Amino acid sequence: MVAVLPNQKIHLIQPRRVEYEALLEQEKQDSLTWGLKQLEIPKLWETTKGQEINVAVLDTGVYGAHSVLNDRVKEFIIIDPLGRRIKAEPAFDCGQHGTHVCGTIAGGQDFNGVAIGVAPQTNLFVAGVLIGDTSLRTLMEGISWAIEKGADIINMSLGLNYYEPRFAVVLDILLNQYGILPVVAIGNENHGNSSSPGNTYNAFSVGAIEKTGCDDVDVTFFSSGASLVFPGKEPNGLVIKPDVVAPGAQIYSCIPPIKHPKGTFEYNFMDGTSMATPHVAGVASLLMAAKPTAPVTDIIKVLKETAHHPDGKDLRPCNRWGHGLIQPDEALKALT
Amino acid sequence: MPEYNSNNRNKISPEFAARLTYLEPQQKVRVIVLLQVQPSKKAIEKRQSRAERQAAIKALRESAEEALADISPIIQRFNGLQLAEHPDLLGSIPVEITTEGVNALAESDVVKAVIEDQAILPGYLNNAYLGMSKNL
Repeated sequence: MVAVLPNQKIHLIQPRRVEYEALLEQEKQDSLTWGLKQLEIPKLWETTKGQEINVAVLDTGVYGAHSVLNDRVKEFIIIDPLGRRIKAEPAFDCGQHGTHVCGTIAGGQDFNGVAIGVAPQTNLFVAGVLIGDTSLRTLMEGISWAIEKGADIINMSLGLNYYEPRFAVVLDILLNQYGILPVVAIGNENHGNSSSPGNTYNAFSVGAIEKTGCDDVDVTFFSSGASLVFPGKEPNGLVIKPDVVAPGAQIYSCIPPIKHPKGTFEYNFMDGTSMATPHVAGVASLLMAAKPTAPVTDIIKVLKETAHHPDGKDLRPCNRWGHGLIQPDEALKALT
Repeated sequence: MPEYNSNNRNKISPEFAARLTYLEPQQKVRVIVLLQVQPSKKAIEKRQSRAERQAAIKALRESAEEALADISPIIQRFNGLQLAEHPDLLGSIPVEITTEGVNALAESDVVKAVIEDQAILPGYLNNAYLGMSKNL
């Protein structure tokens, strides 16, 4: 006998209800999504809106004709499951994910004047790599296409099926041979887990925060975060993920128009580290536009160092907040 | 079950190696072979210009083609199939090959890593709410 435990009652803990109507009203009043407001993006717009920076989005595609994207999509390609490049005109999205991500990076204002995009003058190069039963081969071809097109940043709001630490070789080439910043979602597998390629030691991975009561924020329940330990493999013997966090729940952005009994909808809210990642990609674009000579290693460094962790700088990184919630304006000052 | 050379541990992840042990030596898998490419001569200290990017692409392509020529005999020996004519701009080439062949590729000095051509998935949870309607 080890212990005797009382037969306790269990009770249902109900998740907090999100008041989308109230959130929409607030965003309308602010003329900004809560994510952009939280990150104080308008402060950076006084310096730049991301012009002449190329962000590649490897996703489900993009509905390029969306009014809020307003000619931001400079090129579009489909990569099929066999790794072939297929030109498609006009740009389309096989779901909603890619369009939503693109809106968060470079969208303008919706019809109520709500700004949805972090870097509304940034160029988007979109590769549909998540159309059909796609695999790493498709992703590799998408990355190659992005390199060829002159991408400065690659947004990867996606994950692999299982842990693959050797993806670090790919990220190393992007960072050190081409000077490209890959921004990768850490995954939605909850605390204590993480997904590849975000959990690779050299990935710049992003977790998600959400708005809580009293104008506060916290890491979402779904946002992944874990440490991987490899004794004797220093300097990468301890890999702590995520690297940073950004708004990733109740994110309002554009989608391809869908018909519904109540009307035609072209915007919605989505949750996921997929939605946090484009916030960081957009911020990186603003920083690169403001400081055109800054190498990507410096961009990553300032975003991590200036991030706000609720427990203070001494107790970071951790597996919930990573280095903390990015503070774009502080990062820009640190780059100067 | 095939045995895996411990020297290959740095080139094949333990997870992929474990999956390979479930296959017979002659069974084929689809992999991405990451080739050894010439490292950049100097650290990138600023954003690349268009010309610098093109130069980096050219250097990597040439380097990867050389490495590919070195592994072509291995691919043939193990009844493999090269799934693309040339390496991509990351110095990788997709290959279908036997599990024995995977191990042989990993033993080559011109191979940096071999990874499984595994599925990729978008990372989002749900479409929580249809935000706003507009009559188009």
